[in-house]
Amino acid sequence: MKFRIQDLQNYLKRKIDKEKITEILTMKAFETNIEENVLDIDILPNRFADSGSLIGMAKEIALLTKNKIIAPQIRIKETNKNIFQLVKVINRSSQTPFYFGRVILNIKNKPSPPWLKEFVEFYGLNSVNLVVDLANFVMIEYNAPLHIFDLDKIYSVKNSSPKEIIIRESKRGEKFFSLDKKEYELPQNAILITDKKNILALAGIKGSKFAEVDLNTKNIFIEAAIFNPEAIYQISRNLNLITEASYRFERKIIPQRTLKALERISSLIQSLADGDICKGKIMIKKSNFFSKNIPKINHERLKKYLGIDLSKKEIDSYVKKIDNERLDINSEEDIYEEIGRLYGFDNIPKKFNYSPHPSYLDNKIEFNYLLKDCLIKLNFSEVYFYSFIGEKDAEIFAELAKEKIFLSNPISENYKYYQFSLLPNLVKAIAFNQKRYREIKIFNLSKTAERVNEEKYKLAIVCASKNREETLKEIKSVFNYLMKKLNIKTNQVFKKEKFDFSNIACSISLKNEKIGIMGLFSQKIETIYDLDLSVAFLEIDLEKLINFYQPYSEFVYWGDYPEITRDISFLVGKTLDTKYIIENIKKLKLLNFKNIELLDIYFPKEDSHKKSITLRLIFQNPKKTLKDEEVEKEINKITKTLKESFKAEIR
Amino acid sequence: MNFEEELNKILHLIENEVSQISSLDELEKVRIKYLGRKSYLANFPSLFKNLDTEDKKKIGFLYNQVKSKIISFFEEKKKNFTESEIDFDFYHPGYKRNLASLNLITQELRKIIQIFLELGFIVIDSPELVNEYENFDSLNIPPYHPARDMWSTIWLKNPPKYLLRTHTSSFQVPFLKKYKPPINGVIPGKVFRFEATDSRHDFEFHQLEGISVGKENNLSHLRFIFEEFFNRYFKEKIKLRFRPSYFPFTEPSVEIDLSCILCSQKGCEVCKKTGWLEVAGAGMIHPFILKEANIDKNKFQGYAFGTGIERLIMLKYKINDIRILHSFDLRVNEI
Repeated sequence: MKFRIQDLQNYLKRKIDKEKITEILTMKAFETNIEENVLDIDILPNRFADSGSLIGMAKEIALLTKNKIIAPQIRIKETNKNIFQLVKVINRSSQTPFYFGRVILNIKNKPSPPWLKEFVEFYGLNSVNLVVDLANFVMIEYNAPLHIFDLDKIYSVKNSSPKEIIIRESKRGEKFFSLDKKEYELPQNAILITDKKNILALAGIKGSKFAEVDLNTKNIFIEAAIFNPEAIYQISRNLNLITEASYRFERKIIPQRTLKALERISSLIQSLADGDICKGKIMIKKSNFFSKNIPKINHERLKKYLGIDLSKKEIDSYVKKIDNERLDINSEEDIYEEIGRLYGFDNIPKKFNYSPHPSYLDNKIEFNYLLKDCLIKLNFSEVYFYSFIGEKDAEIFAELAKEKIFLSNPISENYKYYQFSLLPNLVKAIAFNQKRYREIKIFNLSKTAERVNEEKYKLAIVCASKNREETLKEIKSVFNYLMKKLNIKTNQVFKKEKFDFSNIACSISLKNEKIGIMGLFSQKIETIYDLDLSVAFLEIDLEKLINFYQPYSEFVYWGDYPEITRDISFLVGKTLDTKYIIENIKKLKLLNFKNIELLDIYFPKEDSHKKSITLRLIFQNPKKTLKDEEVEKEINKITKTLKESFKAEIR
Repeated sequence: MNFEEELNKILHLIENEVSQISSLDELEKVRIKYLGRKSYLANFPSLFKNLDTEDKKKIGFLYNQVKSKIISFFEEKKKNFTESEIDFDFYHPGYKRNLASLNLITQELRKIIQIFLELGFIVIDSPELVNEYENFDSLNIPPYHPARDMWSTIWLKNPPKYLLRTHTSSFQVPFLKKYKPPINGVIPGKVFRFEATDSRHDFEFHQLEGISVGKENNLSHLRFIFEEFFNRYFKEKIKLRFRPSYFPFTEPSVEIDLSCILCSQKGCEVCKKTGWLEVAGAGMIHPFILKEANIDKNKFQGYAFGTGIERLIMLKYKINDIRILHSFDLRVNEI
């Protein structure tokens, strides 16, 4: 809230030192900035009730700088006319704990004098007329929003007296017409100030046209009330109608100050707009004013809590200073906070404390470190993007999620879904970077979800080149490298799949569990996202992968005697499962067999029904140097099997 | 075959040939001819492998002697030639390499995490999609309380009352329930706000939450940890300032300011001439939160803090727009 120093000065005996006050307020109360003669004080919600006003802030300044308060003058001359002959207030709202009121007759309303006009405008309000502006002036003084009704406009049956004002709560769908002639359809339980015919005000938020005070107004009813802050918050948010009054009511109002504000406004109107104040006032109280008992405190606990060493005497002197109107001080810890700030949090010394346990990194975070480091070694770079997917992208990649997390208030059309896959954004990242970087090898590792409570880290990797086959080989080698580095020796199954975004793709399974997908983006994707090159992708579900991860693997001795390697190339039918062929060779009872490696698979142009496979067979005997003849025998067994079982043509 | 004679013949033949060589290139060619893998000399042992043991041993010994003499001929001869000159300018740029890199946020977050590990904090992962209870109610932010306005929220359409966490504090209660005190921990992660973006605000960014609960953990210990953290992160001697603030989940609450590292507190644009930079919110964990986590406030107390990662990175590298850090642009990694 912004305050003019001159306004605060009116309530303080000694002169405010404006440089000093900025520093003191910032260090002991609220973050404060100064610009010429205006203090911009950031009063947070817990302290607005006591400090969001001139008197409140003056009290705070007096406390922090040993200044003294000058209370505003209140002089009230009541006439003999009794308020109860004119007004009767009926409270049917459980959300209105305090409702005070006065009636003033025969006022002379007029435009506000320049000082008042300037005042209300500085505090962010429109100047209306003297009476309304004075009500706002008092609101700023006491933080007590007031409402003034034109008494003559309040409806009563055949002008009978007293006029009835009924406080009640709305039915769903009731209509309210505000001062600025807007129509609102009310939710249930909005607090209303009504007469027998109309809604006069949406309590604590806004007045209506029906009892509006204008320059012709003669007789007025002044309302000083407190409404349930939660109700005000709820209704003003529901109607998207946030006013100066609702802002203040939400942050709670101190009842004692509301009652004072009623007297202050009456006194001001009487002195500036004449008028006769009727005898008595409306005093509806559903509970007592808080007669505050300062909670008991434990001196030892206080010292341990704040980390400062204070004597009993010092503590007691701080406790004595606590204003009993403060609504935010209710518990033992609230008192500690108050003492802490008055002592100065910045005066708390630093102190070392041993950690009670060894430190460690969460499994998942450590696993993420490992994967990212692997990819860096393969010359892949990490790219950042927001965790959201737009409608169009979600449609293109729809097959990747059974369900999607749809946001009810997305930042924009491009961020409608929480990401279920990292591929859509990764494709965009390629398009963004392809002009600047010769080689596109990028990845992202982030959380994704299809449903709440089922968040998964995913790792997505893409690489691009002109040659589609080479690109696929590259991504496959990345996958192999990751499996090697994670010591995953589980049987891998690659099952061919087709997606909307990829015609050449596969799902990857480990031990029957699907852990990811790999493939090449289709031409459709290249066109939509304006890709210059062919892009291969790999996306892995890390929640699943981590279960297969082995931090290290057992050492296997490389042997004392030389290995003999033999490469075999052969042609087989294109549709034969490569994995099946290899498994069959492994099943042969080969002597001195050490390992089998798949060196290459290619599809010869000359024969479109065939594929060529090259296998490397490694033989070794742990006790002697193998002779060529010994290996030759075993190779013959293999070629025989290949020919007989798979109709292979050995090359 | 007389193996002895044969070896001596070879020795003299090579000695003679080597003596007549006049260039380094030629020397290398001749070396390969006589000592290479497929040379006569290399395969010589297969010729005498069938001799009886005694003779094989004798010839084998002689063979090795002759071979090492021949090697020394070449080495001696090599000394006669000086290496030929080539032109090379060491200002040549070399080959341009594409340097793989981690995103800058990852790089910095790792440094930050490492410091907290060294200071004795465990580092814990936590969910981004949470419910209203976790993000608000469990933190003493009831519905219809104006404090809720401090965090504008992105809500999920389904299920109701679920949202993208607005702060890493959403994991305070689950953390304390799972890792019972005494405990020190940090929770790094993404957070989301329903906010218009500008150079200093974005709708998605990273926070690091810290929690320390024990018998007497208080703000003086927080001050030690924070000073240590910032000194190590900025590699500079810094000063801290604690001033009052308000968060519903801490009591008392403080705002932590860092002495401006850009102007050494002389006053600059970034610190708005105050010499101080707001870098974290903190406080003593509110009894309400301890109660939610089933912790007896008379036995345990502690502090919590939260800091924005991007803010620290921006200060460190003098980046003036948060959106640069969040763009696809790979150049960010090269900072």
